[in-house]
Amino acid sequence: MIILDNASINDKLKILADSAKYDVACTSSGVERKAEKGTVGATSAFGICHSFAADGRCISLLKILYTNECIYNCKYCINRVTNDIPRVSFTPEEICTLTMEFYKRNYIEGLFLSSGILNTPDYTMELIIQTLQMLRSQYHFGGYIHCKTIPGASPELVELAGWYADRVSINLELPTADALRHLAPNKSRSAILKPMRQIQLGIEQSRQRLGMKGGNYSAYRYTQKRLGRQHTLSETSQPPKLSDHDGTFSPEVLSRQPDNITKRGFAPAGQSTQMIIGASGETDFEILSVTEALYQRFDLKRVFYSAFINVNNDDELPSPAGGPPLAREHRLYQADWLLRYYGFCANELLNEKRPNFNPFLDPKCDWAIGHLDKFPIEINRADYDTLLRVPGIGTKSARRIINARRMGNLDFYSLKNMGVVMKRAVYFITCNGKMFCTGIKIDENFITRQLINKDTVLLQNTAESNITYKQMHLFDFIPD
Amino acid sequence: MKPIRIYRCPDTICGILTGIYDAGTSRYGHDYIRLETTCPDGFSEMQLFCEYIEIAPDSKKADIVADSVKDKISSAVYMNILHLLLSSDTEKANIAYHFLVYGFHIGERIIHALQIPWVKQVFEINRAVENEAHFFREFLRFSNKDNIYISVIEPKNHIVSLIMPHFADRLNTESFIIYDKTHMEAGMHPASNEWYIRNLLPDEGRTLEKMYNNNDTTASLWKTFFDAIAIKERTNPSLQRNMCPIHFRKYMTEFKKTPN
Repeated sequence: MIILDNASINDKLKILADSAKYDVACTSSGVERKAEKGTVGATSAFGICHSFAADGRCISLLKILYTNECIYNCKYCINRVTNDIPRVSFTPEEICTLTMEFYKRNYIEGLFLSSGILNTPDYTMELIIQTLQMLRSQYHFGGYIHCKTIPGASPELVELAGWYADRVSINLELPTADALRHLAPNKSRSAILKPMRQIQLGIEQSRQRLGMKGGNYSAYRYTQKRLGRQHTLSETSQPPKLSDHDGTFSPEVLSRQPDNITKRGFAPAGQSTQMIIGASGETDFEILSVTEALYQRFDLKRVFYSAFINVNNDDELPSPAGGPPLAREHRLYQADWLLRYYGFCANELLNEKRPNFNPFLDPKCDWAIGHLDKFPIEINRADYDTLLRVPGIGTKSARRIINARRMGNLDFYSLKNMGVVMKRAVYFITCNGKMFCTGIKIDENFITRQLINKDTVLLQNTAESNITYKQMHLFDFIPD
Repeated sequence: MKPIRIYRCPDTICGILTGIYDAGTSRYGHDYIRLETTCPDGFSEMQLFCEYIEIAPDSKKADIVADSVKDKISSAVYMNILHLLLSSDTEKANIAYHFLVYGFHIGERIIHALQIPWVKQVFEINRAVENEAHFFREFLRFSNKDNIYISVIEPKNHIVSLIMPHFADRLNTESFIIYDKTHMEAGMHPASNEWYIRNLLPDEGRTLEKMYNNNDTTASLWKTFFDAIAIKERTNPSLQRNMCPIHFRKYMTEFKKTPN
């Protein structure tokens, strides 16, 4: 281990941002808070991205590690103890100054602080908390803070982190306990799930004390509530038990609330987690089921996926020839949205017989083609949740349709104005009992062919089936 | 057939609202009325076979229109009209007029009736203005000169008044200026005070632009961070262009080429 003691702040930032980049969660959403007079910084509920890096991922927070020194030896991680890389650490003052200066220039929305494990988990966690406390009380920073908790840190420290941060997260790292044991020998499933449960209960209590300011529910929870499903869920889709140690805590989880920050609540933007995709042999169905279970049992705001990159060239880990499995990660995110906002269940989208997503079709189109008995749907009559199941209609356009049709019938032309993606939707909807054009067959093969062919020949040519088009030539107009 | 009557309003909120008042009270028939905004330099294409009426801005008439929109329709519709009038769309005066004709008839539910072409256009322009304002909340960059934070932007629409409250809240302890180069106006926020908007003289604009300097230490630290945070294996410039279009990058610190 090469420890650089005299590194400049620029070098530290370079190394510690570089080591933090594999953490996916860079969201600044989930809590709306105006600045108080005399403090710097506010947060907005929908989150604000301030830039986009060369890989197209958003930069919302100053995403850094406190240190990249680490006593653990996780096989997938660039900072594992056996790697021969330069090691540096920030001081709390440096992090605070960077955050404040960047924030005032509108570069960032706040701080994302994670860390390698220095000496012990508790020692590292104390350094992180010291930094957050300094930022909040000495620098009067009111912006967004996302804090990673260190697996194995004591519950008191985890609680303090929740009081200073807006969002707390702890990485699940790998979808199954076996893979975790194999690839991250120093981390255990229970050391990850225990603080997750603690934070969940803490947020619940904070909500009871402070109302909405204490933290709002996840989108998943609202969707399930709208569908009237919250009680029946466990019967229909038996979420896999994540561990025997879901954690038991006394009824009063929150005991160490610092005096001056009551207004902010305990982790008001909720908690999130992330999983590495493609390092161990799980199917998409397993990953999606774990995701669903996390939403149901831990009330997480988000589950993030990270396409595995073999940074250490470790022989025990796969190095796919086509680069990281980005397409798979994309499909999983699409499915994640279907779970959280559209009311789909994991076992509707995939099952044991068909455990992986179709690489050619997005999960919603794929589902719709498998359930053609439910289509076509009449736009002027269907309710909100039925509209949401149509490919090409999202939450915004469904809401607009509901509002607009109170004012009069809708036709295909006005649907386009509302943001419906017609090239996907036309196969599944009718307006006033009519399909978009003649020639659309509600047939699995036909629709699949149309959706995969990017040039929708049908829509151009059969709108008026007796009219054909051809390229015009100048000489056509000149008589012989 | 009656000739079309065209009301030419100055391109200000007061001017267009006055035009709406005059056109609405003329009883000439909505189908025969068109509103146009005049360019500041006075040139515009005139049409044959129609009457032109020049509008002199009158704040009393404008207030009457504003108040009756708020009272008889809703304040949400009024906000829609305001955003519409902040846009750079050349048809905005005409759209606002015909939207309000429907608005006074249907009431506050008018904003949902996207099947009506005028409403659809108001909706689209509103969305464009609000989106542009949001892009600048994201991508605007301040530079620090003697503890005054300065920013230069070139928006298509008049969005400074939409983004000032956002920054005045989070940076309430700082003095900052947001200079809109396209429209030669600037939002000013003195530390711990109320913000205001001022029209600028060309000289003032040039001075502000010179003061905007993103080459200091903090800026270079930010560039270091920006380069370090990207994952090489995932490089995807077209996604980056989708999310952060190139025309926004002109004044963004991290996209500025270093002098060497």
